[in-house]
Amino acid sequence: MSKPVIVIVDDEPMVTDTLKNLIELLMDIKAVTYNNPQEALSYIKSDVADILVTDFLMPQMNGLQLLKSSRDAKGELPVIILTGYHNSEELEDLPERMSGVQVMFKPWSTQVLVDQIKQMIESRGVGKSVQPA
Amino acid sequence: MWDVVSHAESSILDRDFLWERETVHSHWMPLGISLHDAYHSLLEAGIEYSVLLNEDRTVHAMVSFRRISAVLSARYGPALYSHSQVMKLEVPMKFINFAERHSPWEKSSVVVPKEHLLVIRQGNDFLTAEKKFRQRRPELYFDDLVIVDERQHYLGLLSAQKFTLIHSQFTKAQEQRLAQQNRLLQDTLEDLSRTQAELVTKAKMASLGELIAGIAHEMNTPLGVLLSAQEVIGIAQTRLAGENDAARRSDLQNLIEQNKSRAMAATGSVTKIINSLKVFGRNQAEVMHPANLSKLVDNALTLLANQFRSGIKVRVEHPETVNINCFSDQIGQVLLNILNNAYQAMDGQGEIEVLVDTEGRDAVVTLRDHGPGIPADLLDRIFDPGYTTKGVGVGTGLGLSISRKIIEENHGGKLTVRNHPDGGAVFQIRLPLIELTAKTQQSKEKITV
Repeated sequence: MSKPVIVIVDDEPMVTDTLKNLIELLMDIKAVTYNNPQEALSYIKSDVADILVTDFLMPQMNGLQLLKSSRDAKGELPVIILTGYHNSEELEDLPERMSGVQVMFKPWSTQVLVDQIKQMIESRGVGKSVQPA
Repeated sequence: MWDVVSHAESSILDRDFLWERETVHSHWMPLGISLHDAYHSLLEAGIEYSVLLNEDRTVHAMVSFRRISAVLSARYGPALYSHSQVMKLEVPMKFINFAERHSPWEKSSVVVPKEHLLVIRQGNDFLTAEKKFRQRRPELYFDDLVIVDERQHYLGLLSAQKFTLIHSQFTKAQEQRLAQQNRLLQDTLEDLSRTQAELVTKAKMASLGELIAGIAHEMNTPLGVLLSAQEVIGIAQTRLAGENDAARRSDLQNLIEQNKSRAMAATGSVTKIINSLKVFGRNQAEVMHPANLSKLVDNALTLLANQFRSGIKVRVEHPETVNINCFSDQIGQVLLNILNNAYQAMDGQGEIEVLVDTEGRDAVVTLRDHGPGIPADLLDRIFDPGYTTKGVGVGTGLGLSISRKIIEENHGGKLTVRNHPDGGAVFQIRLPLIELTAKTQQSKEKITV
């Protein structure tokens, strides 16, 4: 059985590279990284994706738009929006409004992030509430 | 206290005149009348002569107003002026002409010694009367103030003493009224400055809040990277200790090196942000100091970089150094404010151009956005305190008014706005360049942000 695939999207390569290293070190997961949300969407539409970790504020497309478009292609794809933007109205109560979605804030706690990813993979996208770090 | 017209003083009475003029004479006075009363009686009647009657109402003498005035003046005032002398002196308004109405046989005016007369027109308010009274020549002595109507006809007398009393009462009331108004003004002024201080604080707090949110946002990413990179390094090091496979050891070592450089890069980002913030730590500066305007622009853009990253493209052009004397925290605040306004005007999507240049003796920063621009009829009001196009709670509407105050009042510069012909708003900041004298040339190395 092949490894689960996590798609990590952030316009900052420093973030995607570090997260890839961290996730692959701690979990038996394959991490695919993108710094352009359009390219990430093309990948999700055409390839294996079990979970999406995405930044919110990005050029061309924000994390929420990417989430919606990805779900058009991949149904209930579990998504973690990892954002440094703490006061967005769009993200407020998002986990209550959309199942399988979590919002986490930068700087992230490795432990919380890893636990959340594990939990989402195990429950196949039925995310439980996780408090922001 | 007034002398009484008596037989002894009958020299002042013109007996002969009475018999020469057997004309109708309606004015009479009883013998024994005081000189003062006689004077007033004649003045009020507006005639030159009166008949002085004995107790049995027989004619005693003819009394001349002029003569009575003369005696009164000689006794109680300075010199006497006769009718002709007054005419010759060409002293304006020193006698009242009401002879036409009251003295049918004599066209000439009633003569009053000028020293005894201050003419106040009916309808003159008290202040005007008071002013006339105050402006009299200091050597002049007044017994009475004569009130006249607009045709200069006699209306009444007011003694100078009474006038002084009224005057002092009036002045007192006036002073009280002024003091009260002053208190009211003082209160209003205090209210106003309190409100202004509150508004300025509110605007500062708002911009401080925005700034802090921006910085927090800006630092979150590198801090997250820093924390995770350290974690990766820690895990990799632990694993490296127990790893014997050469290939895996090499992978782990690579991982450690990669994350070390990432941690360095993240630390660099945080350091850059903190350095950009140092400029705001100088807000206690009491005097302006030399600063590089290009650097201040870069600093502001660094602080907004993360906010802009999602949709704002910034084109910056500036010479390496443009030195100005300034309160750098305030200039930083203005730049942040204008850039932030541009961001909000474009809903976070679009292009901003920032040009720094010199023109003659000015440093010029031009900031253009590609938003909807400012409606022409609002261009004049955009710097007014409280003016805002943002929704309730978004802006205080004070940012631009404070910005203009900072540039124009604190720095002697100019902050203007116009619409670009191809769309968008163009803000321009002009600040005096540092005069590069020999002294400042020498200290050029010391110029920092």
